[in-house]
Amino acid sequence: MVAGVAFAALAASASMKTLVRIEPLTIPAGTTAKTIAVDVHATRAKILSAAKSRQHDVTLELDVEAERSPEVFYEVWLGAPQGKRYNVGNVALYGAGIRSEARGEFHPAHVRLFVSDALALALRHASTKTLNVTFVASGKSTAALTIRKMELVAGPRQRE
Amino acid sequence: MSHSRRRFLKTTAVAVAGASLFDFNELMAAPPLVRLDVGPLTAGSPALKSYAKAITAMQALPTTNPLSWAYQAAIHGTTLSGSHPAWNTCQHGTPYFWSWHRMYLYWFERIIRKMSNDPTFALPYWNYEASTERYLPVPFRDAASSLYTSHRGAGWNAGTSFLSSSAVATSGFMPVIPYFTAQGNCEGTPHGAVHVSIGGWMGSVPTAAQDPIFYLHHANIDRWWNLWLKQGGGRSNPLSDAAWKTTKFLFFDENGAQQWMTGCDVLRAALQLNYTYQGEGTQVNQYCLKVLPWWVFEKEWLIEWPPIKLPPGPDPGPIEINVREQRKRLLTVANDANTDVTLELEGVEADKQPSVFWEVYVGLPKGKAPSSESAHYVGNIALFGHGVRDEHQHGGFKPAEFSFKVDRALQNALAQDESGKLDLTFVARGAETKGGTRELVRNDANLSVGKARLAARRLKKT
Repeated sequence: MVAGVAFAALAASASMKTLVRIEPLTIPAGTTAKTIAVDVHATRAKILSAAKSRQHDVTLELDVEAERSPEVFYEVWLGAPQGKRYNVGNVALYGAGIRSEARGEFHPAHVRLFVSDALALALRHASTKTLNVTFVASGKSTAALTIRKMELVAGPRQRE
Repeated sequence: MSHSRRRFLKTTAVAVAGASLFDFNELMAAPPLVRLDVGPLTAGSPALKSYAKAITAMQALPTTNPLSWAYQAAIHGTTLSGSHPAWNTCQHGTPYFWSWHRMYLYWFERIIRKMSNDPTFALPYWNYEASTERYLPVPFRDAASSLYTSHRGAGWNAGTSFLSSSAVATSGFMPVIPYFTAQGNCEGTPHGAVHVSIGGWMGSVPTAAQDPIFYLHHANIDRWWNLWLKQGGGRSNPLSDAAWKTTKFLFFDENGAQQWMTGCDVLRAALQLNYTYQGEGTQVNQYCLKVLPWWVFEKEWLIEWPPIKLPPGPDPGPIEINVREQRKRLLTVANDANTDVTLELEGVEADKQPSVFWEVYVGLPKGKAPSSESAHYVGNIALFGHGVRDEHQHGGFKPAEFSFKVDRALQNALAQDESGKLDLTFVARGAETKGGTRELVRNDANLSVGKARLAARRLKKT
């Protein structure tokens, strides 16, 4: 039996530290864009420090699922409310994370987006108290997308 | 059977480096077929003519025939009821995404060759990262062609829909070094994003492989696996993951016979599977060691370097050892097809988590810039989760150990340098790119290597 999406290699290791936990959310079918405001008043300095560190990557870790394929992918953008938004990648459900297509035990899809550079820019001003996370559908979605878990995590650097 | 002299020499060099580990069938293989970029191809191009011809023939076969279009698509996924061998076995969100789809395309391509009666057929790839190839390739939009299906999202067959730059972005996985993270991110974008963008059959696993464009999309994903690996910098297939290497998947060959494959069977596209991609250049060849019990081998220690200390700061330069007296012996074992020569690093530890990893070179000529594509590069020291003194959490501290195969590096070193010296070089890596300039990387930890030895390993004579 082949392991599900949350196989060990992608599971958070002991050396990964959660910086911010973001509330789960559901993006209803037909929604073109959804923004959630994350309070970073108390954690901004810690996030910024990790985002600027050359030894670390800050990643946005998401566990995502849908009952059926939403038939779109979602671009993910980070930014301060008054500032520029930065694209950090996509959430694209295909094969994993779709309940109606699951074979055997269902697992949400795990998505890891590297967000250090975007955070370093979005949170650079000391006055920034909120980080906006925006999901933009690539078209008209036909099913709701549920984000079961969403965290900003700092871990050892994985990129060149 | 034909093979070019150049290819024979190239593969022979690899085989001499460790023939006991490799498949000699690779030496005798025909020159690899080239999977072409579909962009410049027309409906009259041989590859697409053969593909269309084969699809027509496969669609005429009953669903229960493993060579039929429906059966081949059902191996990936199907909405059909009933259970047949290999149906619904595609791998998504698992460790086998890249490897399973490589296997799938390999056997599919062989079936297309047979069904088109074109032994030179190679599956084209859809190079949609190029801004000129964002629309569905024109031959797939012709309603009179078997490359066409009406089951696509709005505008694709009309030529008005195209892939957005964010759907085809590779920036989420190409810079990433760990295999499973890179693979997982590639599976999301571009792979998943392209599937759902095209929509219709392509948008859903149980129907996707019925669309002829599916296989060109996956050829491109397969090409990206090679290109990701080729960047070096510590990227590697998961050769220490036993499950990844040995889990078997079922397919059918062009005669309808069942064929099982593992990760170890698809590490070297050109040598094992006989294909390359247009414009790809030299592929990285990695090998699974044959798993044999330790007691069938005998080990001979050849030379030992003094204990090695790499303090924080710039790279210390090569660590030299005089091998004048052992040179003849080293040459003998390095050139012995039945012996593997390994660099064994024991007692490897750092006082804190290093922000770098180290490329290791044996016999790197003085003044030559280190490169992971060099014949002298043998592997990486990357400490993460073990060998780091201030991070041990589970059952006490243990130093790390590494073993690198060095036959080829040793052959080159001894052939190029008759001074009797052999250098071991550690190069800190982990560079960031800022404005296109690669910044100097410096180690910030104290790394020590208790023992660095060369060993010869061969099967015991019985």
